[in-house]
Amino acid sequence: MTDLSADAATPVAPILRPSIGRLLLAQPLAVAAAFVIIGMAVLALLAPAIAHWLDAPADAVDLLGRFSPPSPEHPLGTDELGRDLLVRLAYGGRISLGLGCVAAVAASLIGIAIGLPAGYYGGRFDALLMRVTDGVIALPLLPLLIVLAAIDLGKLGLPPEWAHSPVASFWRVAILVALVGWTTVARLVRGTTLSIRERDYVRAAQAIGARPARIMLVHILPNLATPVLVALTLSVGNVILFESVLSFLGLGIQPPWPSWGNMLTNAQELIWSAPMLAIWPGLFIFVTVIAFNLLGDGLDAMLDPRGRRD
Amino acid sequence: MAVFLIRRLIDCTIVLVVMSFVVYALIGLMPGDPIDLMVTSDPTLSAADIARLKALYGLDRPLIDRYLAWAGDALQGKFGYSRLYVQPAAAIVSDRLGNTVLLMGLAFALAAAIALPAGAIAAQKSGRLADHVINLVAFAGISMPQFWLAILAIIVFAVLLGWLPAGGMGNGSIGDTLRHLALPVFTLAIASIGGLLRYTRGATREVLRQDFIRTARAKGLSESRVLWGHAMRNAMIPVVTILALDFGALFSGALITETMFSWLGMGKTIYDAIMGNDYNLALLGLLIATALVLLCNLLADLAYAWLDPRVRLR
Amino acid sequence: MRRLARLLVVLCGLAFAQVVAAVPAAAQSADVARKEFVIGIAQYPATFHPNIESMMAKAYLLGFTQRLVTVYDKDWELVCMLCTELPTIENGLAVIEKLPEGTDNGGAGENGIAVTYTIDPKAVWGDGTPITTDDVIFTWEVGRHPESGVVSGEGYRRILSIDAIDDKTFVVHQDRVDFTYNAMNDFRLLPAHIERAIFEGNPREYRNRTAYDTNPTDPGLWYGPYRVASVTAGAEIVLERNPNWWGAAPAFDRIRLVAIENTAALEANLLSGSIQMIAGELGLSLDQALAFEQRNGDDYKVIYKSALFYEHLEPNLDGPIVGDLRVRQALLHAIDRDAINRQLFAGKQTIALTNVNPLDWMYTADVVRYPYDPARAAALLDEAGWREGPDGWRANDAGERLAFTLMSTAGDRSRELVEQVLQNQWREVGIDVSIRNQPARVLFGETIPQRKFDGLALFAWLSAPESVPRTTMHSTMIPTEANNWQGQNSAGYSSERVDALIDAMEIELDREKRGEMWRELQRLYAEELPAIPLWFRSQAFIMPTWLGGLEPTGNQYPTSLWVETWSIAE
Repeated sequence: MTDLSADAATPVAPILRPSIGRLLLAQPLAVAAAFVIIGMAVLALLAPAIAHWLDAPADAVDLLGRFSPPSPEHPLGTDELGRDLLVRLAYGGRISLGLGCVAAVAASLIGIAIGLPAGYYGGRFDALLMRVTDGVIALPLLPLLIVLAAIDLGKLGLPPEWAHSPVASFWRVAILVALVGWTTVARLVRGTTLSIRERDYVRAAQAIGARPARIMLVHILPNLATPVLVALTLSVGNVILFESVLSFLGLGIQPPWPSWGNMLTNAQELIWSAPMLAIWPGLFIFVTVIAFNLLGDGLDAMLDPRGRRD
Repeated sequence: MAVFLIRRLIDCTIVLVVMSFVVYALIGLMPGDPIDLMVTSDPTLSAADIARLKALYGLDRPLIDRYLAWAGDALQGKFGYSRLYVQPAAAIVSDRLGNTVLLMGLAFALAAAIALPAGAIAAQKSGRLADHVINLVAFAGISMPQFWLAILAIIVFAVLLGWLPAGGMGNGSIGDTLRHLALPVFTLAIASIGGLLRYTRGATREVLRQDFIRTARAKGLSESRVLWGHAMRNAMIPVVTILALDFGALFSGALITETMFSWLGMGKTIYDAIMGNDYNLALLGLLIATALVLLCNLLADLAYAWLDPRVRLR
Repeated sequence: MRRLARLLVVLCGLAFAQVVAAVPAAAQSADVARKEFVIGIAQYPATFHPNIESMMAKAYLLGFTQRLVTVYDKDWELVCMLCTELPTIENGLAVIEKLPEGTDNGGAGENGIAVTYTIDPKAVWGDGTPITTDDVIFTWEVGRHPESGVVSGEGYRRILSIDAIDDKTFVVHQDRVDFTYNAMNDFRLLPAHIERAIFEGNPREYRNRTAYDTNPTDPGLWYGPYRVASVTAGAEIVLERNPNWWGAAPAFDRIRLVAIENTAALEANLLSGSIQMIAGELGLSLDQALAFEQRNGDDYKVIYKSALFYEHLEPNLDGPIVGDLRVRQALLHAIDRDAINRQLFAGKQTIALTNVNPLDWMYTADVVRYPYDPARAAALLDEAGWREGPDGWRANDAGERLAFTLMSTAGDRSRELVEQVLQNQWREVGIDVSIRNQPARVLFGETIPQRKFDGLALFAWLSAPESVPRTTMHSTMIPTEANNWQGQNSAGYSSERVDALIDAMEIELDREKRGEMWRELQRLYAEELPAIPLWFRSQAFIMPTWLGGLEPTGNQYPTSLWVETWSIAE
């Protein structure tokens, strides 16, 4: 028989234990991952600076300098149009990382908004939301993407110069990912809510007469923080991968803007003649995604409110 | 229980109907019907030809009418002809579904066979080297774009080493089919292992902290008895639900892998059907895939309720 | 549990070892190929019926298994394939005749023409049934029928009637006289003895019930050097020797066509030996082939042939910017097509002066040229009112910047490269071009036909030898909402002189006079630039070193039509 009073007195939000140092040491991989991510972010932010320092803008085509090997002017060499590879990787990082974070956060917010009430209220409401979720999961992305690609944003009242710029393709992809990516978080949140709902302290709060909104926000939501945070870091990685799949299908970020995904897709056919053009963006994607995964994993271990194993 | 099932079935039917309409509408809204595209490739086509062809394929009617006509036929089990392959749509779907089950089933089994034990071991040795190594390897698999992994696999195993064929489905014999399945199954499994492993590891770690485990240890049981005999049974609860959900996703195939390896499965079929405005094939394929997803979700919920007595089905 | 896991691992290992152990030798040698030659293609044909839907993949397949009545060969001359003698007015087999009263030929004159063909007496279908005029008449009936699903009905509608003189000789009465009167290239024969029953049973359902798709291995459907032996829908087609083929025996016993859509995988399949050749008509892109040749040139033979794909920049002539001729001239002067060709395509593309291919007999290079001259471009732009501002961009007096969009097909790497180079070169003269790509179906299905582009569109027209550019240049062919967006003159070009030239050219039977008209048309084209010409795209044919006799035509007729000339060199 569990001790009711002990549970009811449990703090409602996880507290980070004071010995952060010990925590971090226990998760060396996560720490390394965090440094890698910070490094990538710095590279991306410094993209204009790098371009300026090398005097090589991201879209400076040099037909005579195609595929040149690494040199002082071009530390990583040039690509199929003579553009500096390092600069393009840096700018590509802006797109890929930016897209990853924006889309993942948006998807998570939607997922919580749907999964939490579904798990809490249950019944027909839950059934309805879950069927909607299932429907969205089964929805084919491709016609949706094509239709979105065809909609002339200028007609929707947006200024034509913006609507036809590559910025629009960024937001198109981000919105699409958010609209279809919330389902994993929703299912996760719902499942966790279902379990937490049966816990004694929640039942106690209900017995006391707390309003559902309060229960959801104060008791359940903080306990969701950990799994959602973990799912979020994992999904950043997935969005970056998804962006490369979109480029593979021809529906991703359009040229001349570089993104790691479209650089990788373009390099597919060049893998024999200029392998480094494929290896670098592939490596960047790989390292970044695995870093986000490890970070999420480490956070999972660190923030577990039940404490760690002795 | 019966009430729950009936309610679920009604819900599923509603989802299928709504989804069929949404998909039909999306395909119809896509700009550029293949007949329109013929104009650019064949200069001798006249407006009269276009109008005639559209009337022949029924495309001159409004979307709603076409959808209702399709729905009416579908309810009677008549799913029409595929425009892309000039065969009855049902014949193509059943053929491709078999291919998909083979491919995804093997990949799924392989991934589960590796991920479950590995995740459990990683949880048991949490924080130690084995845990980190298993983690890293698992994550490596899910951190690469699928098409990238596929082309690398083809280059290494088919071109450089020449051990396995670069794609296709083989000549029908079991041995040859297995040879052609090796690389795509391998590529798909690598992608699934990471996710499954994480869940298993998380769930097992969660369980290993429980009081009853401490009790079992106190009783003097060996670590492996504790892990496999007691912990896993409880850890399996969330894992089984994830497995069931993934199993459902299995039927929609894997577009990228199928494209790279020329494996004729549901993923590529549905994609080609949608892009080719082949309404009959696309809708039948998607409906089957969705129905199976819903079925597996239902089974997952049932399993969850059966395994975890604290959860009540409402 | 653990034991189970261990067992599973061992089983997997065994299975893997088994699989790997059964390794066949890579089929590279000519001896193996003699038995079965494997060709990779990038697309699988939707239907095998010759006249429903036109696709390159299908034309390629049909080239092995059927023959055309007449065709343009590799010298772009019209020759007979199934017929015995090419009918001309000179040899009396084609006779101009007055049209019957009340014939409506859309204003194409008062005369028609009666053209007589004789089918090769040896010609038989694959099951031994002779090919007769009955098949010709049946094909025409199907082609005319509004519900048969045949795509291009125009050719059939122009035939007023067909008289069967005997089993092998027939006379076609056409409703107009134009210089292509004796070309029966796209009139692909159907076997009446198999298809007639199906067609007449239910014409509306014919396209679903045709034996070509329900029973493709029926030998009676095929009459070329090969016939279809087996089909794996969506994946591959196996062809075997046709024992009833009356021509020269081909070199291979079997040919297998394998469809691999992803071009990187296509290349990998070639390198690993599972396919031996990549069809040039539908295979690797030019720059991919160039890269391939660079690395593997010793192990494979690569042939490049300029094809009738006219890659160009189509302007929307109603737009305020590109509608100005001086701007278009400046745009052309500002780009270095030779450098692009040299650097990106190893010089293999054929620079275009107009929309006429240099291999066409009526081609002339005596037209206005636009060499790479940024200074001249700048001068033209200044003249047109676009002056360079302090920020490097040009603007007019109203302060509007010289800016427009360049559109093309998304996912086409070569085009994306070209677009980015063009964008760069135009930036040098102060023009702000933004790139906007769309999937092909959007671009060709809606944007171009409905003229929804404000600047330039980069794409290619596929044409035929000596094809009069009526649909792309005649003023009645501008797609509008009123005519349901029919016509390919999406630039919106309209010139009375050109209209008159086109009308006259079509009916001019005298080659000399026609040549004069063509030369004038090309001169006008270069002067008025209804489109900005880039180049004619080349195709790359990658084959084993021991394969000889394969000669790409450069026109739309595939090399498979001459498969009996392919040889295995020892």
